[in-house]
Amino acid sequence: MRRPADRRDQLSGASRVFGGDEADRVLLARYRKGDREAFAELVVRYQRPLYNAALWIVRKPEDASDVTQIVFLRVAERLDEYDPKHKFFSWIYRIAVNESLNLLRRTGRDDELDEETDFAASEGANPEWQLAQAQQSRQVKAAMLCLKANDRMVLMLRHFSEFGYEEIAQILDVDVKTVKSRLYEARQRLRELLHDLREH
Amino acid sequence: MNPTELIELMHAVLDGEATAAQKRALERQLASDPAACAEFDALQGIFRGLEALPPAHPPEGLVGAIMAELPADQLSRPSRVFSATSDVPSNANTVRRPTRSWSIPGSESMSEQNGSKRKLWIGTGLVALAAVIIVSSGIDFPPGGTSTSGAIVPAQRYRADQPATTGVGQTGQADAQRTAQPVADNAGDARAADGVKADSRAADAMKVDGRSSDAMKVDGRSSDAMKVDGRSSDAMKVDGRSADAMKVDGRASDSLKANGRAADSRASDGRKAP
Repeated sequence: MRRPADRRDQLSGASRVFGGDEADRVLLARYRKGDREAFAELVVRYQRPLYNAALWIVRKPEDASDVTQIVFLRVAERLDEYDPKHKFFSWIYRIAVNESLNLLRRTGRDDELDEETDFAASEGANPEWQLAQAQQSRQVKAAMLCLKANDRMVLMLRHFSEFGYEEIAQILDVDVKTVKSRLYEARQRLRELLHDLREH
Repeated sequence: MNPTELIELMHAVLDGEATAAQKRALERQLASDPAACAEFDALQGIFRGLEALPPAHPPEGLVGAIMAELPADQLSRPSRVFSATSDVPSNANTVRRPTRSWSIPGSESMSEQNGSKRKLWIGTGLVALAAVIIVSSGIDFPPGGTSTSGAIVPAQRYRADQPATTGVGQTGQADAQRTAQPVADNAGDARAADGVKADSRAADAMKVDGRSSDAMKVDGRSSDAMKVDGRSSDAMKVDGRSADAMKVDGRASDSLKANGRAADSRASDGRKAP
């Protein structure tokens, strides 16, 4: 099984993205002093994982792009509300989750299934790996997209963004026990959907 | 270990949240319980399937789009003002065009108010200067008159209050050059001295008024606009055509407006219209 850091590298494109709490603080301090380049660096660091998180919730690339933009603008406007005791990434992820859910509520799109949702092949993945994973990926992706937004969200936070229980609890503003329960239920539903897909 | 505890333990181990002792307990259980082992394998398959999903790539230009939407004066904004509205889900257009939500809160209107006040101060200062120059121009250049007596007599009257004309001329050289030299170039040294006095009167007018001098002292941009930009002051100084011309064609007010627009454009620099 792949280690979390590997997945995070794959998501972010650079391991420093997820190991950079101190770097984040430095960039935030620079931005507070008026350095827009520092904010641009934060955007570069986090656009990809946030876009992926939003995409798994809203399921439409254009909506995910909009949500990602909104998130960074919210970050800029609410910077004074950020508590440095928490990880910056957890904080912006929480904003991303809320904005994604807000979008779904506004548009009522959670029941729609977008067959064109594009989760491109991973960079650097070799052809054999892609071939071997293709069938399973299609099925898992199809099952994931059939899940309700809350299930997709908690699975995304754990499996794609590699957050631990505590971090997920912070992001969703629930306790750890609820996180475990939600993960269990979401996985059960995913498993049932996969079973149905394989039978058809 | 009951079934619920066993399932929880499986999830915790696969999630990487279990302790070493819990992992060993699960291993023992799986070794002795084929059904539990099958369940664990199925669950592990779900985890593998999820992790095999490749991540998506954000669209190209997303960083640029975000930075283009980032207000230039964001750091000077009171964030609480924004947070009060940003928690409220906005309409779909806000998502499509994120900048809309940034135009609602009050900081921009605050900026506009400051700009209006700045324009008012600049205007007041320039009007005071214009009034002085109008008076001095009227003295120096009587309409249709070629005699200089009209210029000398009042000049002597004001000169009587000065400690020393030459002293003023030397120490106030810069001021004389800044505000009255163009007049002196046309009309001679006596008028240059008048320009110095006129300058002092302008200063007095601003001191009395208070608001103008404060604006010019505190808001460096106002005085800078007059000194550096010079669109307004140059029009008054060089022309000397001056008072009446400015009254008639309104160049002074136009240049003020132009300055105001310049200030506005600087304030909104980097912000994209929604």
